[in-house]
Amino acid sequence: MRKIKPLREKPLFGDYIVIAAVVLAAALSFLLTLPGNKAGNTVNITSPGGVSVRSLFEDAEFCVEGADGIVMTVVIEDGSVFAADSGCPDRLCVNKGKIDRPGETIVCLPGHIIISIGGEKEGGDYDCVAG
Amino acid sequence: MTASQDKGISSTAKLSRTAMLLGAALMLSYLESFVPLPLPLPGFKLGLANIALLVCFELVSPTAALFLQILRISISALLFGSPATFWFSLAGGTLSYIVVAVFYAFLRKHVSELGISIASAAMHNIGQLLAAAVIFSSAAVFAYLPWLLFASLIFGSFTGIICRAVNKAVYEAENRRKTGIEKL
Repeated sequence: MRKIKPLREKPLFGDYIVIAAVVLAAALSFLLTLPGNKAGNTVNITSPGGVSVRSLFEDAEFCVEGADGIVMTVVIEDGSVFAADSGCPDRLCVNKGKIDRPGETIVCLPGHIIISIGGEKEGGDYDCVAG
Repeated sequence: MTASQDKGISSTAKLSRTAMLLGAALMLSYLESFVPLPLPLPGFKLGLANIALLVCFELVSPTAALFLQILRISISALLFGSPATFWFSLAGGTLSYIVVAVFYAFLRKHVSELGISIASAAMHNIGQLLAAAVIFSSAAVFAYLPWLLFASLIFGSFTGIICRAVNKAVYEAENRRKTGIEKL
């Protein structure tokens, strides 16, 4: 005869560990991916055609060819960059708006295009160093 | 994974439970395709179909859950997905299957459906991000990791609570049936 397991109603010890681990991982990854306070200085464009790097401070307007014949129009203006137009169906890249800080990204999934801001975070990023 | 993992039900019951759970999983996949997450990365899902996976682990067997997961991902990609979403859910589904299997093999006594569900949701999201990183050949997508992990806490708790309710209902029904047989 099969024994019926007793049902545990309350969260177990391990549940709290799992929750704590996920919270910790979220906090850690948040700190690691935090956009820097300093403005970036380069624009990295990753597309199926390869990677190209442009300066964030030279105004420009150009097209990036993505997958499936999708063409994205990218504008660099006044130290920030945005997708002005895109042939992709959802246009999330256009809705993302302007980005200008290191680590910020504009992603176009259907077109396999990523625009990200590069630039060294300077030492002044730390409020203070203890030790 | 030996006979001790046997849930004490006939192979017919196993087959019908797995088939029923696969049907439920496909229905949930269909439902969640209407609920896009507010992320600039399409293809990310709430993870409702995870409920069926976890219930299958609890009430049938890890092997049945593996079949369920593979079939669910391929069928839902064929029916309501696209090639891109297939790779996302395959990567997420594989990682989340592995983490649930590890919990069931070694830690089930110490972790309830709630914890397993949260861990599985978190691994599912990490797997999807890995797939996105490969497709874009860029690590920039990991900027979304904190938000996805936070979301997996909320949706994982939600699916975990539903799993517990389903498991409880099935165990109670089995109990009733057995005591009924003993009375005869």
